[in-house]
Formats: sequence, structure tokens, C-alpha cells
Amino acid sequence: MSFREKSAGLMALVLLLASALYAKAVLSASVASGALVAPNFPDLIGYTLLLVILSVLGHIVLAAVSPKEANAQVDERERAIAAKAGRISGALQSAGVVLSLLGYLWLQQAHVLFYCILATLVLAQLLNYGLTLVFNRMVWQA
Amino acid sequence: MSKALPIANRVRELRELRPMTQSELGDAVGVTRQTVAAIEQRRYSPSLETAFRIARLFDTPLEAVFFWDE
Repeated sequence: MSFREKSAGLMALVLLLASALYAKAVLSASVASGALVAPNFPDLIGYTLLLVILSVLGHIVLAAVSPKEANAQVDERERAIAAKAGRISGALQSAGVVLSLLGYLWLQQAHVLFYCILATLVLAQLLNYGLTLVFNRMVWQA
Repeated sequence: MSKALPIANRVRELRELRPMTQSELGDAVGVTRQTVAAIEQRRYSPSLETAFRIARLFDTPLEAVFFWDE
């Protein structure tokens, strides 16, 4: 497994974990208050810090385990894979943002719009990592 | 598993004749070990530049390393 694959797998796990914890915090607060709570800075800062810290620590471990691979340049195949994964996840992201905006026009709830766009960003990134892992195992033409 | 690509190659055979590891070949032509493995397994057709680099490294004509095999 290449360093890019390990990195994509690690980031997918970190993003899933941090997002699940953030979603749990929002859901718990919403259940307690009886309505969807507004997004707040402390929770979002905690979410962001958790993402950054876990991803940095994880990459330090990956680089320590295989330093040569970690320092290697991205090659032509990896660039092509990243480009295709980016195109597909970018399309999902665009569709999610448009749907979220249409949802806002219908519901007129800014909190829902915020959470929908955040979920779109997370899902698009998870798709990007997943496709990176899958494409690395597939027949691939430059 | 998807169908193999139509361009076959003798990269593994030529590499083992030298002998070289996939990692050494990758370093010599500027790709990762995983990409060399993908080329050998016909899961990836390299760019023309990388194909020429591989043929040149093995001191072999390009068409003797990579050939159409559908």
C-alpha cells in the first residue's frame, strides 16, 4: 500500500471520527433543547482542532514507519488518480451545495443550511478518500 | 477485477534479468514502487515519457518492452 493510500485511509478515519463526535454533540444539544441548535464556535473549533491534531499525529506515525515513501514525490499515476477522485467528489460537493441552497429556499432555516453544507463538505471529502483507495486497486490508464 | 489494459509489457522479465527490485526501478524512472507493480500487472499504462525511460534504462527498444496485445 502506497503512502497516498495510507494517508487517504487515515484521513477518512479521522474525518469520520471527528465528524461523528461533532454530530453527536449537535444531536445531544438539539434533543436537550427540543430544537435544532445553532452552530457555535466552541464546538466547531473543537471539531477543527481534533481533525488537525489527529491528522498531524497520524501522518507523523505514517512518515516514521515509512520515511522513504513519505518523502517521495507524487508520481504520474497518483496525480491522475487524485485528479479523477477530485473531479468526482467535486461534482458531489457542487450538487450538495446546490441542494442545500434549494433546501434553504424551501425551509428558510439558516441552521439547516449550515449543517447541510457542512455535511456535504464532509461527504465529498470522504468520497474523495474512498475513491483514492479504490482507484489505486483498479486498472488505470494515464 | 477489471479487464487488463491492451498494452502488455516485459517490464517484470527485464527487471528480473538485471536484477532490480520494483522500488529500484521506480526510483530510476521517477515513479513509486506501487506504480511499477501496477505496470507489471497491466493495471496501469504509463505515460510515453515513463515508457521511454524504462526502455532506455533496460537499453531495449520501446516496442520490445511495451506492445499491443488485445
